[in-house]
This record gives sequence, C-alpha cells and structure tokens, in this order.
Amino acid sequence: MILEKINKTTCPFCLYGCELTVKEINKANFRIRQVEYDSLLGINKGRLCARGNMAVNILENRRRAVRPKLNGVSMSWANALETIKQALKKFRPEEVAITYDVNNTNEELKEIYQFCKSNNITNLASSYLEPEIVFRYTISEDVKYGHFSDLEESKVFLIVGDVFTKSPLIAHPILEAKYKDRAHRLYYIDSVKTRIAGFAHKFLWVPVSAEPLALLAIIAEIYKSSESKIISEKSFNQLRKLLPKIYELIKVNPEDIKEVAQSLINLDPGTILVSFDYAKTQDPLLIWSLGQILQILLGNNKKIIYTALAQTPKGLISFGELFEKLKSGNIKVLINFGDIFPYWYPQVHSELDRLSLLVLTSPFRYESYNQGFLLPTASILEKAGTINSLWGQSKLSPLASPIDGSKTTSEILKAISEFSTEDIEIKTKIQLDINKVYERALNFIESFSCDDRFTVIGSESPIGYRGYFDSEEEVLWINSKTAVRYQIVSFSKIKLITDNYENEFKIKITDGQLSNVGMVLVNTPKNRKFFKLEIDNLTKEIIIKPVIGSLIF
Amino acid sequence: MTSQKRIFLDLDYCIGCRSCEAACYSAYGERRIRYGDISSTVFLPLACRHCDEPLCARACPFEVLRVTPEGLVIQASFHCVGCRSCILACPFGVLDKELSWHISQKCSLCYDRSGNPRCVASCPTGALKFITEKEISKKIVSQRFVARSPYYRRQ
Ligand code: SF4
Ligand code: SF4
Ligand code: SF4
Repeated sequence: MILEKINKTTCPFCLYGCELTVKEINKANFRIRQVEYDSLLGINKGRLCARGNMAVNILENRRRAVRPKLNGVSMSWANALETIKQALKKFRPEEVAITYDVNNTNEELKEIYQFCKSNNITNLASSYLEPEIVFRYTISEDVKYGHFSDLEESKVFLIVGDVFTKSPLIAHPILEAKYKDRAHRLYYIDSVKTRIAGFAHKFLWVPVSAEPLALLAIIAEIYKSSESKIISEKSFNQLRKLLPKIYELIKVNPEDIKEVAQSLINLDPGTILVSFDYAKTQDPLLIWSLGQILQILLGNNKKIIYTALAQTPKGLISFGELFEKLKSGNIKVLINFGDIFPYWYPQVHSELDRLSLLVLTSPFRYESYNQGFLLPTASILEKAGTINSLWGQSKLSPLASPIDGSKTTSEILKAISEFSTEDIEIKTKIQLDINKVYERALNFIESFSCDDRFTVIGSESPIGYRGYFDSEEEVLWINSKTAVRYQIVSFSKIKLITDNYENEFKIKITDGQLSNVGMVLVNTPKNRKFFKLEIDNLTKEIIIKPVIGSLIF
Repeated sequence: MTSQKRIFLDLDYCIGCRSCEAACYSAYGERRIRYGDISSTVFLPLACRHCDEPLCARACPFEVLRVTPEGLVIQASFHCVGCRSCILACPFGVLDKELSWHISQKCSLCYDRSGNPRCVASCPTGALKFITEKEISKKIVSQRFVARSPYYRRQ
C-alpha cells in the first residue's frame, strides 16, 4: 500500500463548511480513495456527517452520468452541443429560461449570469425549491448573524426545526455548551419530537405548522423588556390582544413560553437557530422573519443562525414567476445548470414536457425523469473555486479530476453561445418589508386552524441524501393513537392518498408524532410527489406545504 | 480487556445522524456498526464489543472468527460461508442480518488505521469514544440519557 496523494477541500453538502480530506492509496496498482479523519483539522476537527462521509461514493458512483443523452438515448458531445446551439438560435430571449440549483461554485454562477446578460435573457431563476430559499430574505440590515464562536459561547439556545439533520456537526458545540454547566439552556420548537428534542430543557411541541405562533408568543412576552422599536407599540398591543387565542391554538403551557422568554432575556450570549424540512411546515418565510424579529428585539448579544444544505441566490426572477410563464406556454426553452432539478420536483414534469427544448445538466443519471437533453457535468467535489458557507466563503479544491465524459458548466456555456465576461455582482440577500411580514403574521393567527383531518408532513434524514447510501424503505411514521383511530392491524401495507399522488407504505409507530399526523421521508423523488408546489404571494417563491391525506388498507 | 480500547457509546451526545454507519460504509462498503432498531421505536448505533469470550466466534462452524492476541475478534473473510450463525449468536445483536457479498459484516476496529476507528473519528458529536474499560468507569456516560425517555426516534 502506497499513499499517493492527500486531497483537502470544503465539504459542499451543507453550509457548515467542514474540512473534507480524501487520500488516494495505491494498492497493487489499484487506486483506492478513502475519506480521512484528521482530528487537528478544520472547524469540524476531522469529524464528518453521513453526507461528508459519502464523498468517495459520490465520486465513484455507478450512477454518474458520462454520456450526453437525448430522451434517454446516448449521443456524442459534439452532436449534443451543436444541436442545442442551433436550436437556441430559433428562439427569442423572452422564450428562453435559464435556471440553476446546487452543484455550482460561485464563479460558475457568475458565468451563468454573464451568459444571460450577454444574450438578453431575463428569465433567470434559481430552481432550488427547498424551503431553505427563504434564508435569502432579510427583514432588516440590523439582523446579526452568528458565527461558530457564538455557538461555543452561547448560554441559551432557541432551536426551531430539526437543525441537526441539515448540519449534524452543529450538534457538537451546542451539546458541549449544554453539558458544560447547569446554567445553560436549550429550548426547542417543533411539531415532531425526535431524539434531539430529548436534549432540550424545554420542548415546545406545537401542532403542525404552528411554529410561527410559538415565536409570536415569545415575541409578545419579551417585547416589554426590549429597547428595539422594530415593532411599533400599536402593533404590539394588537398582538397582545391575540395572545390568548395563540395560546389556545398552540396547546403549549403559557408558563413554558414565559420560561423560554425569561431565559432568552436573562442569559447572555445566546443563539437562535432555524432550519426547515421539505413540506414539514406551512410558512417557512414567516418563521424565518419572526426569528429575525426576535433576534433584533433581544439585542446584539443574541445571534441568529440558519442551517441549510445549500444557498442559491434568487436570480433575476423568482421561480414562482417562471413557473407561471411555463404554465402559460410563454417559455419554449429551459436550460438548467445543477444537480437535482427537475428530478426531485416531479410536480414540474408536465410543464417541462411541453417545452421545445429542454437541457438538463447533472453529474448523475436519475430514473425519475428522462426527457430532454442530459449533459453530464463534473461533480462539485471535482471543482475548484469558492462556495458559500455559514461562516463566509470557503475554498474548494478538487478531490479528483472531472470524471471522463463530463464537461464543466463553463465549457457548456461557451459551446452554446458567446458571452462577455464583464464583472457582475450577484445579490445574495433580499430585503423584505417588515410591515408586510407583520400583516402576514396577523393573517396567520386569524386563519390558523387545527384540522381534524389526517395531515401528511415531510421529513429528511441526514443519510438518505439524494437517494445515495441507503435504499429508503417506504415508511409512514404515525403515533399509536393514530394507529388505533384508523384501526391499523397490519403494519405492512397501507395506502396513503393525497390529492397529488398515492402509494403504499409500511407503517412505523413512534411517539414522536402528533395524533392524526403521518410523516413520510422525502429522500426519494417519489415521496415528494405527495406535496404540491404553491406560489407564495409575497415573494413569488415556491412553497411546499403539508397536505391533507387519507389512509386506506 | 481492561487495557484494550473499545468503542463506547455515550447516548448523552448521540443525535442519531448515522455518520458512524456512513463512515464504515464508505471505507468497507459494509455496515459493521449500524444504527439499528432495537424495537420499532428505539434506535441506536450498535458497535461490536470485541468480547473476551465471543459467542459469535464460538458459534462459527468454520472457525472464521478468531480472537487475536491483542484481544480483537476478527474475521478471516475468505473462509466465511455466510451461514449467519454468528449473527444469531451475538448477544448484543450488533451483526447486521444482511450479508455483504455473501459474508457476515464484522467490525475489526479499523486495525489498518492508527488512532481511532473510523466511526469514532467521524462521529459529529463525540458520542462514540474509543477508550479502555478503566477510563469508562471514570466517566459519567449516558447518565442524562436515562433521565430522558429513550423512546425518541431519529427517523
Ligand atoms: S455537516 Fe455539512 S459540511 Fe459537515 S460533513 Fe456534513 S454535510 Fe459536510
Ligand atoms: S455518528 Fe455519533 S451521533 Fe451520529 S449516530 Fe453515530 S454515535 Fe450517534
Ligand atoms: S459480534 Fe457480538 S459476540 Fe462477537 S465479539 Fe462482537 S459483540 Fe461479542
């Protein structure tokens, strides 16, 4: 065994920015790649979550795309690029849409922007439709985002949603802080009680989608002690009047909310952490905005941090606007640069089928959709450049050279049209009008109701990432009361039906679910079909909400 | 085994991220440590104890599993016929009932590596520890976990 090379890069699979080391060994003339764990390196001290551990499996995956395809039939690169180039010339810029999701470096994104500018294409949107897109929106420039050191020093944590699924490494500083001494406090708001919730001193177990209500209650409790005037006195009085109604809706003991509020005021410094899963909650934008309001009310000693798998800038339009244009037939051509779109969003397939020219680029072959061109691209693990992390920009250096048969985004762009490379600034933060947020919050309180019907929510597991590593079982998690209510006698085959899709599931019982709620893992494109894409009226972004469903034997 | 290092799990820190399992899978293509279900609601990573008197080795009809002088229970995989006797015999249920390439999946404490086994080195929270029995008796391990309900699942 001869050690040939050690490659170091930043793990690109979430915003935490772990250092990822892969060594190449020569064993009897076979090259073997192995993930290495060096306890002296990086913010992660050599530790990695399941996704980081999978780096080698992703590089050498048998599902890597290595030949261009048209409707599932292989063709040569020269032929594919020439066909696309000629076809593009037939359309006006208004009929062309360019999108991007993950798997791009900041430099590549810039080139995509430059390509659109040179070709007068205005339909440029991010096709990363996960709820994490709301983190682009900020309510004020005064919002203070936390850094790694804030996590280590914090005495009080308020966590909304399952942050540890998105960036498991975030658990380390939080748990270390929690166990350091008894004065530390960890609070949690969620509608699903996972093992993580068991770590919390207080777990505010709210009904599905009711997280904004819990945050509003906390805001109402701390308002008096805050110096910030981000919410006017008048608005606060309005909110206070609604407080009894909020408590009634969230079914959480008011004393618990008061305790959380008191600790947030008294303990310094502190961190608010927010994270979202696909189809788990109705209004991520409101939760995120209220989290920011809470941070501002609490002052500069409290910081806010979000965890997400990726962050893409908005583009020139929101995907919701693009989706409407696609539906109305105004768009004839769509080119996506990325990895997961449209494979993980089956809801858009019927719109894409109608296009005259559809070009998808991806490092992988997916079974879930095979229309249009598929151009194999290098994986982000094979790229050099920079990516965004929670702590700023991180450097990527390739773990391997791009797999044979793939091309980079830049090569594809240059082959299909000319473009100028003048510098372009890409905006990553978009300001929201705080009054609109407040209005939305009041409407939310008015319209929120705890439905008696069976609700289906989505959840993500850190290991089922993009379908690698695990063959996901089709499992539906319900609690024992729900099982009794539906008189479930067999755990093997139950049909789950929603307006969009139906499929058979195995039932698993957990006491971490609320009654009348079923949770499916959305780590497969199939399970994502249960949920509908809706367009948010404020941001025109896509939101994917929990749905009403039914169970049939 | 008092002086030998073993993998211990501190449930006070385990978040159920299955990184330990992924680290093993990424190196061996096997789940020698796996995030297993004890029942339909209790999940935790199951690591081999490398017992002093390993029942898995006792059960193996072909003496494929052996105890090394250092106290490791290892498998000479070329001789394994995949009869699953060891899987049934292990009192801790750590061996995955699925075979990998027709042989059982047995932890070797990553003896090719100096330092910690991969699962321990990878664990994001430090829940897995590679320590001797003496050290473990000095530590308070999983005490808080007992106070919490163990019945929280992690998908
Ligand atoms: S926590 Fe994030 S950055 Fe770290 S290994 Fe996991 S996916 Fe990669
Ligand atoms: S890696 Fe650590 S925290 Fe994650 S499941 Fe394994 S023991 Fe638990
Ligand atoms: S497999 Fe089971 S019986 Fe065998 S050494 Fe490991 S823990 Fe002991």
